[in-house]
Parts: sequence; C-alpha cells; structure tokens
Amino acid sequence: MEEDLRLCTIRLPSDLDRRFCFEVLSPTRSHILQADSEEDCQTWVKALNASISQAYKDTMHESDKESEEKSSTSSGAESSQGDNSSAQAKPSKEKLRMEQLLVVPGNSNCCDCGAAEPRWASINLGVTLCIECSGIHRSFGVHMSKVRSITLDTWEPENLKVMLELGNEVVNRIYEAKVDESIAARATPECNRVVRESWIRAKYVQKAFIKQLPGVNKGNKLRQWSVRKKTRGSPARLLKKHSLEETSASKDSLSSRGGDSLSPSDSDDLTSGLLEGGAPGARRAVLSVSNMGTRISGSGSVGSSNSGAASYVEGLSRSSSSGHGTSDSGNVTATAATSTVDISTNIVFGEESPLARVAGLNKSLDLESSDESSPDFDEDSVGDGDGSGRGVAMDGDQFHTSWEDMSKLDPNLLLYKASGARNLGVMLEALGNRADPNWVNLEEEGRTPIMKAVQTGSLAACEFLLLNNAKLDRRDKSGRTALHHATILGHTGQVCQFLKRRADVNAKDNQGKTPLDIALETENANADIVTLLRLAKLTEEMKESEGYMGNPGDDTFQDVCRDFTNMASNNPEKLKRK
Amino acid sequence: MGTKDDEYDYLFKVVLIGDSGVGKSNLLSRFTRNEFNLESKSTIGVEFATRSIQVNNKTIKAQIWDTAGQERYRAITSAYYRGAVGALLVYDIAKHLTYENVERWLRELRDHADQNIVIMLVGNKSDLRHLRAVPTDEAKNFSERNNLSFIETSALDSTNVEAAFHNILTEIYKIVSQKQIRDSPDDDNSPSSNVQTITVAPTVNSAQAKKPCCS
Repeated sequence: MEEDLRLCTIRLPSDLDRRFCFEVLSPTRSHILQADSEEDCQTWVKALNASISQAYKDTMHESDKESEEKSSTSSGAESSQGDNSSAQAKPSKEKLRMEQLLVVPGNSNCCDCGAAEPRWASINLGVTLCIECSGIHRSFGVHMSKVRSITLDTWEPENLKVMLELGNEVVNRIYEAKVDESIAARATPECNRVVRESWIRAKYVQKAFIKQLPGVNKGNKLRQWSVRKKTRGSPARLLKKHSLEETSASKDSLSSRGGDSLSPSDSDDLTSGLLEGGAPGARRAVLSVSNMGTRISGSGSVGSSNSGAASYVEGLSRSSSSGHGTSDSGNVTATAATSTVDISTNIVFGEESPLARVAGLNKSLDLESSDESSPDFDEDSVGDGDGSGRGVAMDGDQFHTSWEDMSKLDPNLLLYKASGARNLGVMLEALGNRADPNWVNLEEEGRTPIMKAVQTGSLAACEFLLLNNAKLDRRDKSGRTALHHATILGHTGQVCQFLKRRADVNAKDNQGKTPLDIALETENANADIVTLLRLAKLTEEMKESEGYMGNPGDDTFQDVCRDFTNMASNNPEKLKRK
Repeated sequence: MGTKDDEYDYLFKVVLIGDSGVGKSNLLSRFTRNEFNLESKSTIGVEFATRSIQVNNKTIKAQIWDTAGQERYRAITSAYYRGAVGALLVYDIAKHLTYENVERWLRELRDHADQNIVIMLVGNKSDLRHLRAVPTDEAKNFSERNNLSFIETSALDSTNVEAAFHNILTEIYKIVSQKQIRDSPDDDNSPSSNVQTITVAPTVNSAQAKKPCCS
C-alpha cells in the first residue's frame, strides 16, 4: 500500500459517514480504512503509530552506522524495504549531500539547541537541526519552516544550493543577533520540549533576537547603504578551485568559507585584489582585518560614526575564523572603526570580513549610480545558472549594489537589493525584519524580488525566495512574470525552476505575449527554453484531458525538468548557448 | 475535466527523427492540422502536436514529438526518446545523403529508445519524382533487412501521410493490446509481501451500543 511508513501519518477522519474509520495519509495518497469496531480502530491506529516511530528509530540507528551499507537489519517493518532499496540505489549521493551540508560553518551542530550530528534541515531557513528541534519546526507549519531529512528525503539540487549559501553560523548571526534569555531560555540538547518550543518560537516566529535595521534618526550618521554582491559559484566548488582561481572576486568569497585555512598573507592578497577591483578613482577606504591584527589601507575617509553602527557592521559581517559568535575579526573591526571616527559612513550589508569594509563615500556615489543593472546583465548573458566556477572578470565596481540613502533603508528594499546581489544572508536578514517576499518595487518597473533575482541567474537566490513564499504569478508594470523575465534573459535554469513550480506558461504580458512567444522571437532562440515551455504547455493540456493510462506526458516533463535542473546545478556550461 | 472529445483509450508517444530538411515538421502539420508550408523554418527545440484516430473502435491519441534534425545532441535528447513507443524515421527521397544517414539514426534509437519501439522508415517528398535519388526498392529491402515498416509519403500533396501515421499507430496498438492480455492485471499494488503484521488485540465486546457516526 505504502512504501514507507515514515512518510505517513495516521488520523481519524471526522467528517466521514462511516464509523470506525481511520486514515493513512501519505505524501501522495490517502487511504481510508474501516475497522470492525471502535476498539479495533484504536488498536490499529496505535499499532500503526508505534510502527511509524519504530521505523524512525531504525532509521536513526541505521544512519548512525554511516559508511556501512544499510544492510537488511530491518526489524521486518514495512518501511525498511523502501529504505533499503533507496539507500542502495544512491548511497553516495546522500553521503555526499551530508558531507557537503555538514562542512558549512556551524552545521555540525543543531542550529537551535546545539546537539551534535543534526540529521534534519530546514530548507527555507538554511539550517541543520536535530530531530527534536525539527519536530518543533514542523509543528509551526511549512510557512515558517520546511523540514527535510538530510538522509531520507529526496533533495532538489536547488535546495542544496540554498543550504550551502546559508548554514547555521550565518543564520544564527541574524536570528540570534541579540539573544535575550528573559524572553526565552536558550534550548540545550537535553532541554525539555517546553523550553525547546518557546526558544524556537521566540527565535523564528517572534523573531525576538533579530537586530533591527539601523534607523536614520537614531543619532547615527550612517548616510548610505548597499548590499554586497555574491559572486558566482558555490562555496564548496570555489574551495576546490582555490588555487586555480585568480580573480579577486573568487578569492573574496573563498575567504568567507575558507575559514581557518586563511593565512594573513592570503588576506593581504585579498585586500589588494579588492582594491584593484575597485572603481578607479573611488575614494574608498578599505578596512582590512587579518588574523594578525588591523591594517588600514587605501585612502579617503575611513570609519564609522559610532559604536552602534560599528557593531552593526560587525554583526552582519561574516568572519571567517569565528566560531559561535565569537567574531575575532569582527571585534577588531569595531575597535578599529571607533578609533577612526569620521563624519559620514556607509554600511554594506552582507560584507564579509576580513574585508569588512566601512567605505568612504560621496565620490563613490556617482560612480556607482550607473552600476544598477548593467553589470548584472553583462555578466549573466554569458551563461545560465550559477556555479560555473569560471572567473568573473571584474570591471568597475561590481562588489555591491548601488548606494541607497539611509532614509530608504527598509526591509523590503533591502530584500530587493539583496536579491539582485544574490546575497542569501542579507535576504534572510531582510526577511527576518519582516520584508514582504512579494514586495513591488515601483521605482523599478514594479518588479518583485524574484524578478530581480532572475537577473542574477542565481538558482539559489530564486529558490530561497520561492521557499519563503515568493509567488510566481506576480507581474511587473509591463505585465511580465518572473518566467517572462527568465525567458527574455535566456536563463534556462530559472525557466526550468519556475516551470517545475507550475509557473503559468500561458501568462500574457501587456503586449499579449506569452513566454513562448517571446522565446521564439528572440534572435537565436534558445532551443532548450522553447522546448521546456512547449513541454510544460503540452503537459498542462494533457492534464486537462487525462485518459485511462494516466499522464505519461507529466512523467516526461518531470524527467526533463530533472535533467535540466541537474545540468543547471552541476554543469551549467552545458546549457550555454552556442 | 476534459470534454468528450478529449477522451481516448490509448495515448502513444511517437517521435519524428531524421536529418534536417527532410520534411518532418510538414509531415506533422499535414497529419495534425492538414497544413503544409513550403517555406517553413527550421524547428526550434522540440515541437509537439496531438491527434486522435480510431483503431478497432478504440480512440488512440498520438502525441507526436518533432525536433530539429541538427539538434540531436542537445540536453533534451534522452527525454525526447523516453516513453516513445513509435518512431517515424524520415529521409528525403531526393537527397541520398539523408537516406545514408538512416543508419546513424537507427543507432541513436538503439542508444536512447526502448528496445521494443516500433520504427517506420518514411521516404518523404515522393512528389519530387524527377529528382528521385533513392529507389523505392532499395529502401524497401533495407527496411525488411532491419525489421522496419516502410512507406513513401508526400507532405506536400498529402500522399500516404495519413496512412503512415495510421499504420504505425495500428501496429503499436496491436502490440500493446496483446501485451495487456498476456500480462494479466495481477500486478496491481496489492500489499501482499510488503505488509507488516499488526497484532490486534481480541475485541472485547463492549456494552456500548455501536452508534453510527452519521447523524
């Protein structure tokens, strides 16, 4: 009946005409079963629930044995069969996923209680969890946290990308920025459910420990803000290519993950590379912090106006060497910053130390005002998807988005800007400050964050938004959906990603054009995009007239999507137009 | 929900393959929409069309996949053949090279398609009699040697287009319906071996009257 009891839940249907019924709910089906009597019914429910929890225990036990092939140590439970077959089919894939996930800083312990060896994850928050905490996450509903098993569930490659961009350390720097244990006591691995639940509720539902965005009128002299752009390539891949990559950009993001291996001399290179990459003539000071100490290079006005602002930067910056919030270099930043007080200051969200930059300004403003969209397009028209690992030529200042006046700093615009910078950390920060994932930017054609994220070609940024309730049916001023935009830009990965989530292929823009119309009129039409759009359309039409044989078109569509997703995630160069 | 017109008994996926320019797209448009375009452009990516026909009082819906001949090695390749039960392998009777390439297409089918796929060799553009470069007999012999059905068509003047699709769909239908008889429907997902025994305690007859749930 069902392959895996662990995926099932048992409940008593309330609105049924029959008596003594219970329902076995699986992800795909619902079975209503009728027992002979009320007692029978209860016994069945009890027995089923018992075998479900037994099945879980078996699994936990099995997964602890790690490298060993999951052999037939099953206790005869129904679930063990499905488990074994799937484990044998792709043991390396799951192991690889686990390894990839657990090397992300902070991920080797549960994000909420610190228990070792977390085997669960919240894919929209980007954290790993122990089974106890994952249960609490689940209880809050999928709009807050989408829980997956690291070892048991099938994962979309995009989900993994999101996880690799975030991780417990990054997320806790946001969600546990200012922990106040008078609101809720910190959960520990051994704490009881009540403590655990109130901690998790305070942390994610009430968002009680998130640092508010710095305001304009709090006596600080912050003038402008910007979001640091993330470069292409997943951190893991960049790590591997460490020695090959020459561009400052890749080293830059390497530093964020490279962590402990980063030597002072590395950071020297990093800084100089960054300066070279900077816009010519920009009066920008880079506050460079290496593990050795503080060093200020560059020219122009440096500094931060007050300690509040400085500590804010510290809070946001990702320090490579920090463990549990003990941000060495971040602290150095703060001290250094306060010692060189200046009149006006910019903050860069998502800045990564040791490159925490408290940049000089004024002149930089006009240099970057043209930076708005062109680099995005130039960069992204080259290829599809992200993570190609190829060096991105840096011309001009591509390190952050355009500078915005502090008065414009609100969570919505921050999310929008961060989406355009594919900076998931800052996106999470904005969402934590209750940004609307479907906010409409009236100053930019009425686009939503996901339309902005499409421009970057980043699967992870789009997926992160989609996981956090971004909608695909929103239209900008020209009536275009995110799917229209992905088509126009020739981003096959995104087109596939949106179609998988049932984006409307028949949506017409203000000129009456569907994405397919646009795809066909584009010069050198992208055959893959045309195919995907047509196939999605066909699948939809077939679904409306389903015959006895089910819908083979749908399977094919799923298969094709899987192929394209894997390609977009793992070999984006294959999707490049010739 | 579909209307009556949409209902069908069988849905068969059929792919059109062959070198570019042999007339695959026009065969498709002639069959599904009775259209022909002398100046049709090269196909972009994959195109689809459907049409239902009657075979033995059964409605068979053909889902026909058409692709650009030169795009053989695109990302879509494996999906193109996946689930296909029939293939029309098209060449141009006026271009010998397209006939020579038939072997390569057969190899591609062997690599990607189901081994039981029904293949029909189609010599298109039979209206171009004066330019014929592939004798009918030669192609016929080749088909027999390779266990393929064979037909010559003209999408331009409609000759045999209907017959080509009709023949291949009938052939597929025969195979599928025979297969259905052989595999008796005992392979439904009955729990049998997969079930865990649940020990149910003997029912104690309670004094409570069994109330019906419905009021």
